[in-house]
Amino acid sequence: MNFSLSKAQFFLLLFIIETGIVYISFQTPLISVSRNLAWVLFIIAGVIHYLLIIFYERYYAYFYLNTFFQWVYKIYWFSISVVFIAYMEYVLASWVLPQTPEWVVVLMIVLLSLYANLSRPETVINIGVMLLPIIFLFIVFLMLAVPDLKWANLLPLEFDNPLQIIKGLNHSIYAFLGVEMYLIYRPFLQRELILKGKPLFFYQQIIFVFYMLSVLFTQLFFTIDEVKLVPEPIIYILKSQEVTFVKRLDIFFVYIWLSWSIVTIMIFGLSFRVVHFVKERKRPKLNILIYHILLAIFPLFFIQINRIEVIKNSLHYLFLIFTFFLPTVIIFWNKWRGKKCIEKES
Amino acid sequence: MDKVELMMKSMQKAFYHSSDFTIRQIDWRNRSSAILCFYASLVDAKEVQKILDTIYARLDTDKPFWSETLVSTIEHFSLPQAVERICKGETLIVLPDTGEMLSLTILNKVNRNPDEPNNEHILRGSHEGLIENLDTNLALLRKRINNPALVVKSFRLGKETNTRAYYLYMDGVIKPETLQELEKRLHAINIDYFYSIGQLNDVLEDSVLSPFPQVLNTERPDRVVANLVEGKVVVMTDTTPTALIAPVTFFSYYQSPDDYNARVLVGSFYRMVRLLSFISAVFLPAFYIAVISFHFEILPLELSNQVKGDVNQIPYRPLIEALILEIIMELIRESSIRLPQSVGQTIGIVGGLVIGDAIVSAGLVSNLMVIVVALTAISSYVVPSMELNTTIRLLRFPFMVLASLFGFFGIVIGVVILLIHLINLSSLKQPYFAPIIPFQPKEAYKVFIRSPYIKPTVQVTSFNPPKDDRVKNGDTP
Repeated sequence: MNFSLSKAQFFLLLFIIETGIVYISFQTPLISVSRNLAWVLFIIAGVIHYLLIIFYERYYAYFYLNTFFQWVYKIYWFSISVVFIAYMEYVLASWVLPQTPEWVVVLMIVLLSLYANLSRPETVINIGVMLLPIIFLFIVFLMLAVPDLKWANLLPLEFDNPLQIIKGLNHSIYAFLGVEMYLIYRPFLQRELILKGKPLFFYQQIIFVFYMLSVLFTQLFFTIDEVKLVPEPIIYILKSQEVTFVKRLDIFFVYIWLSWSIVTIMIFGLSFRVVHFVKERKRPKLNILIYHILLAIFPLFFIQINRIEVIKNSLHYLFLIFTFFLPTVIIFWNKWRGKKCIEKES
Repeated sequence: MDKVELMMKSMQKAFYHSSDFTIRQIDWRNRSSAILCFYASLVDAKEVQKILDTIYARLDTDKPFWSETLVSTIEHFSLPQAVERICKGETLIVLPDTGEMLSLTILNKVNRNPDEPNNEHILRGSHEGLIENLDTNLALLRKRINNPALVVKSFRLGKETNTRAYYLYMDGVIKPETLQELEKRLHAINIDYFYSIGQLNDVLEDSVLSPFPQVLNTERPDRVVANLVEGKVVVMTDTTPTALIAPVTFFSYYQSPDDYNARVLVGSFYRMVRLLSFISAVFLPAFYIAVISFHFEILPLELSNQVKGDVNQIPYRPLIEALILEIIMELIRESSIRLPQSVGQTIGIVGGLVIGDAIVSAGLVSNLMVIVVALTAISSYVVPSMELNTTIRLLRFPFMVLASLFGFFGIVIGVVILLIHLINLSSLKQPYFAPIIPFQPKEAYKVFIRSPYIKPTVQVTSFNPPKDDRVKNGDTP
């Protein structure tokens, strides 16, 4: 596949992938497990994330995927997309569309991804730009909750339970799900552009502050016992805000999150294309169509509260494997062999 | 039958014995004969006679270049060439003895005045408009750009109609690939009859089936000039006052000469109002349908009670209600365009006030729906471009259907489809949604704000890579 990315496009792509779906929900397991420590652990997770992207930046050239690992990642992203679509349908059914058949919602989401992925790669890469103003709006309306925040919820801090800290860290770092895409898209960056130093630092600051706000707001708005009962705390915070012109503000934000998540699904599709079409393949459109047909069928098996909960509670383990373990192994194995991935012409 | 008679017969045959084709035998010097032929409908006969008298006088003095004047020239005779020249409106004097023909270019042009176009009114600035004559139009443009870098290239459209057309660009400002793409498309035109600007429009568009126009139509010379100096190419024909401009972006349609003639704040404000009108024109009816059909709970209690009371009186779904009103609105619009201006206004009053009031009293639609549709109509007419105006009016129907099927979810689906489509679109291979996508932060604000001319040396371009922004007027022609 032949395309090139500017710095802004690259970071926007990464931002959407990382925040797209988990933004409204990762706070619940994090705070449930780590209690008052959640915000401290999230700061540590932020540092780990920064170190990770620095590591990726240094060694991305060695992230060469052979056919086996290509399929491993393709299956991983496909599974993540399936779970995310199921989760999106579940959230929509709980908040706004209880009567609409599940398959209709899933089909609509998948059709949008299909349309985007049958277009040029630039379409998927650039569509995230349109989300920027609405994400900004999201944050502005979230700020309406500031008077309701109880700052005492941040304390006390207890560091005497290592298991709690490890579990909390695990759930914190899960916020950055999809960060391994850095390695996939980095070779497509225009050659003359440099990411080391300031650009990486600024990106880290933006995504960290964006996530930290959500963790702080959740922790300060709810008591720890309440958080366990609220699966999408950010949406709930918005629901509790009263403005004169609209009674249910949360409905708008569910749809903002939905469009944000749809774009994330499109980017996962694009990542599948990038890896799948490294080799010239016959009938590329048919391949993309088959991917989306499967994407429309599989989520239907997961749209049940129990299954969604089980998957949500185990995704962070998968994340550890595919974001930390496998890239490290692949990078050092290729470095030892001296095998580099082909850098794309800008 | 002598040579002259034979020639006259063959020429009459070549012009199918047309009634307005005039052919006569006239005396020439040394007792020879010549053939005078022209289309009476295209030639100013008095002027031809004057020029002929001049040429006779020059002949008598035996001047070596007796035939060469500003409006006359001599060349070898060939029937196809003679036919072509006469069709263009020239007068020919065929000299059978020497095998030459003298052509006189004295056209009897029927032109209207270059008045301001009816569909592109502005408050301040030039009130001139293009007309159905290329030479006048070129004069209007050259008057504004006194620079040889304004390049005019001619071509012909239609094998049978042989219509004269030009494309214009500013050398040094236009991107070479844009020019190359345009020339490729113009060379590929293969039509017999050219009779409508729409034929040319279709050839120049990258995606003919898209609802969005990718070529800007204008009848204003000032708008043409503004686009030329931004590096765009303009195509004009001899049969219509419309100039086609490409490549353009979606946001080009929201710019009006008034923005630049007005003061900075005023120009910027109205530009933003126009852009917001796109949102209300496309989404307002869909939003209303979604709220009434799916998301009543978002309305504040006081408004909710009132709306419920209103809507409960209507016997059918909000979509049908909206469609009835929208179709009535389209009928009123269409009828007022076809009728004379004075009657058109009456139709507007009858349609808007009488039917609007009666339809609510009859309980066919609710008051709120009338407000929504009226606001939508007003918003759609804010666009300074007729092509985008029609696009917007069409677009709201699929959004209304999606909203009635899925509520806000339907609107989200529609918006994502619309965005993907807009991102995929291009105009002469240039991105249509620029500078938002691909995002150019330094250019994006210009979509919303009319910048002041406090940096007069910086030339604005539409699809500029950063380098172009540094191009100065001193360098650009």
